[in-house]
Amino acid sequence: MTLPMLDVKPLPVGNWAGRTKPIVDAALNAAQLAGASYADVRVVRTRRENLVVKNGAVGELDRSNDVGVGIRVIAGGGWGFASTYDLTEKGMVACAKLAVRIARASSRALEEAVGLAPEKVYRDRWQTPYQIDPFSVPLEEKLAYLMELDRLLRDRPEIAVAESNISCQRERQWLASTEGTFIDQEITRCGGGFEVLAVGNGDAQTRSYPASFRGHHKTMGYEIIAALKMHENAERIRDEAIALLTAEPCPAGKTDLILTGSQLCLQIHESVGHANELDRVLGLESNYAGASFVTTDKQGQFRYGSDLVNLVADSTVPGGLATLGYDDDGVPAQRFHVVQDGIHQAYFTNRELAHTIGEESSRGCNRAEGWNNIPIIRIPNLSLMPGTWELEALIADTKHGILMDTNRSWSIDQMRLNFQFGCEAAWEIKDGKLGKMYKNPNYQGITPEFWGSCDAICDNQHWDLWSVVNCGKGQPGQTAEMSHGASPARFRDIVCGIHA
Amino acid sequence: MPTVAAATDVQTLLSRALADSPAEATEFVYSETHEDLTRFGANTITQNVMKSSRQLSVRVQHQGREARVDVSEVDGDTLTRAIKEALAVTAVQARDPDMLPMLSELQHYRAVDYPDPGEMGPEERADAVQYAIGTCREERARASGIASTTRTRTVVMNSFGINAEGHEQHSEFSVTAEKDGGSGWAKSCTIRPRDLDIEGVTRRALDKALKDRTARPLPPGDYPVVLESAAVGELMRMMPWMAFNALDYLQGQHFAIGKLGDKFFDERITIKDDVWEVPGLPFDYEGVAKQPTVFVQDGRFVGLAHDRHTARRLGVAPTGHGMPWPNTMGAWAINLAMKAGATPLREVIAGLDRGLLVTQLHYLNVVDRMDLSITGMTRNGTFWVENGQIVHPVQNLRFTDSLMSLFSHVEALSSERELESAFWEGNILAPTLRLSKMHFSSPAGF
Repeated sequence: MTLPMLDVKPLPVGNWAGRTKPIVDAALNAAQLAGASYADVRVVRTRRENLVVKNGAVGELDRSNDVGVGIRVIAGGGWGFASTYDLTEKGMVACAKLAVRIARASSRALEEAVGLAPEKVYRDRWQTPYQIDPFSVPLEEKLAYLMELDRLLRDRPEIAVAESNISCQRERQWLASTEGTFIDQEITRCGGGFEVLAVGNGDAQTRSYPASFRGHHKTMGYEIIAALKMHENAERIRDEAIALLTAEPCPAGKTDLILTGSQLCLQIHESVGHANELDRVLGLESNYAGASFVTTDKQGQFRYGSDLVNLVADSTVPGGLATLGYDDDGVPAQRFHVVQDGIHQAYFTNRELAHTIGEESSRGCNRAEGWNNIPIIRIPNLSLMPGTWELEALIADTKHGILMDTNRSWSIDQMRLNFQFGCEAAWEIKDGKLGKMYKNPNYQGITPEFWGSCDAICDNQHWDLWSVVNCGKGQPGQTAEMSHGASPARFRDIVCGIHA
Repeated sequence: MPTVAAATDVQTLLSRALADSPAEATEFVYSETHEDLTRFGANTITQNVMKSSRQLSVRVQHQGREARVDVSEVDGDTLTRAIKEALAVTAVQARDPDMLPMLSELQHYRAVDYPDPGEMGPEERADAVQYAIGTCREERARASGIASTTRTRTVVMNSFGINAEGHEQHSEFSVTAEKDGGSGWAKSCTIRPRDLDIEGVTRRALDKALKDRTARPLPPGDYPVVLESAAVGELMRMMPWMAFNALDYLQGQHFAIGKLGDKFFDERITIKDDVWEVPGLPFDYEGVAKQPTVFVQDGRFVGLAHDRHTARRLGVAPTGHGMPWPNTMGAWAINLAMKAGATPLREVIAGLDRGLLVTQLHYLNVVDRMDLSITGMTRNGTFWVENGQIVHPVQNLRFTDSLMSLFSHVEALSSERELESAFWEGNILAPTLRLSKMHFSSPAGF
């Protein structure tokens, strides 16, 4: 049985050409009449389906449907933003007027008036390509898949908890601005994963697959679920969790470290991604998330890592969670180097701030969560480009070291320099071979020193776009998604095994 | 603009839908939030927003199965569709013999006393920001921060007569001042915006920034510390998900399995969840009346936060900390208070012979749940103190230590406490602590 997803009433957002366009135009007009020099309206409708099986039962099964409008204006040189779920003309016009009032209040405390980098006017439609619409797959099929997975995972008495999930999301957004841009964009995301908790020997240990914190997600259809090969890896991951219960703790000291792609994903995110958001770099996030050590004088000359390190931002790469047609400034998706051959090149920018570093146009990194948040600079898809090594050869080339897999925890300072990451599992590398397993592994470093110690990166065959689905930033807090491509890589002489 | 709707509007709509629902049991969790927030950075207003959000969560139980559907539109037609879809979703599941029926026992909701919130419009927020920026500019410093007010209305209703409604308010003003590599931070959290201490927060942040310049490196190691209330609040924020959640205890991932009642912390440490002391909703998301719940009493670990489901498994009463069901996360305590000590704040600092004064901790995360070890950074004002006096600023340090050890090395708790924002929602009431030992594992270099 294919269940129909709850459909919001077809109007006002279901039919742009019909009743919604005049209402949005009325809101834009109201903003201009109230004194806005610029205004944009984003009508966003988001559908989600989340299915979790836990210990043989449905742990979560929820579907959601959310719709509303956010209106952003510049008036008196300042920003104003207001949002409402009242999509009538009266509601949207009132929202636009409030946004202008808020902008005028902003103008009381400005260093300089807000200006936007020039951008072409676009009238376009863009949507995520996919093979199988995840919302069309029967719930019974999804449940049966997860129940069989659950059976495999709980086939050993040490497993106290097995939890697996499949989730999908579709975000439809209409962006219209007083400049004349109108973009209709639909982004579909889908993915899943599982984790097991083994208990025994006075300990409790978790293993996850393909990645921790609810798995692996991409902008694609339900075809991702088969590609993840969750059933095929269930027994291996389950047995690794059990083995961790009797494993030695990760030894303390400096050693060579090989990180797998799923852990490198978060390493890239925290130590390169956030560090290169231009709002942070300029000190505009100082009170909350923090600033950045990558100050503007470093652009184009700072050695961020070894010659092997190439980090590329790419909002066009197929499957990336931040792959889209346009950002929420209406700027087309782009691809550019943040770090090239180890040297810093570029920041993530938006139309408002590009000029502060002498750039004439935005790099298209402004995104908002849903309809009720203002767009802010966000990490796009950001990937460590593959090298030339086979993983087996890389391990064979490592005399003494540790291989760590799957993120367990993360912490980094407010300038993005001192980080400490924990992983789910590690293995000793001795004389070029994987040896015993270690539990509770972690490592610590300073960002440019760490990337500078990278002396080997595995090749394309080991490379994947790993996902971050819960990136928090801003006040009010917003969540965003992005992908970080990586293959296993080696870092020399890293501090490991930090304990209380 | 839509404001928090009149009580009768949603109540009437939901009551009617409950009566008409074809499901054996139906539950609604309605929440509506309006957040006004002005954000400034580098001496300019960078964002100024009015954020509205509204969600109606519909849960049905039917023929031994249950499902949930969330919608943001709230009208009779959408409600009917949502119930219909939730029922359809139940039909694809196997019957769950352990399904816990929705709450039907009569609940007594003791009201949380919120004062009249008053208004703080965008103009008033801009005035507050102007004051902070102007004051910092006089010292050639940069100011960043927020001025915000948040109002939330929550309604929980079900087919068995449960009808809980609560309102929450929160106001916040915070400033980070920066000058010549030094930074200082201060914050005021109140219920009413008029009670925000705009001048005091600005002065404290600026004073810290001026003292924080030319920070010297300090080698990692164990040091006595004074943790200001914001830093203590950060440590306490880790406890609901590392220590207080009964689901973790049941699943075997807990530091105190079989040791409830044992002493793990200094006898002066008492931590409880109490919405009548730290304002919040007097009920949880299944409608269970919240109870003051003590987790740590005189250093002994004595209690857990329960929803109805963990409470049933352990044969105890739920404490009113349930999240919307079904979920896999368990119960969350989000209105925490640490009992105040007997030492005046000044004496807590004056009693530090040689050690560190820490303003704020940043980006805490778990190292090992089984021994409550965590890691994080110092931030916005870390100072070397001798004989109770600040001697010089210190470059930031990473700490890696266990909550068990930190809260076992207490030398003094202040008699004054400050309200701190919780990470997710809710509030934390925390004193300033002096500890004889905290382990700092690596330097930040700035």
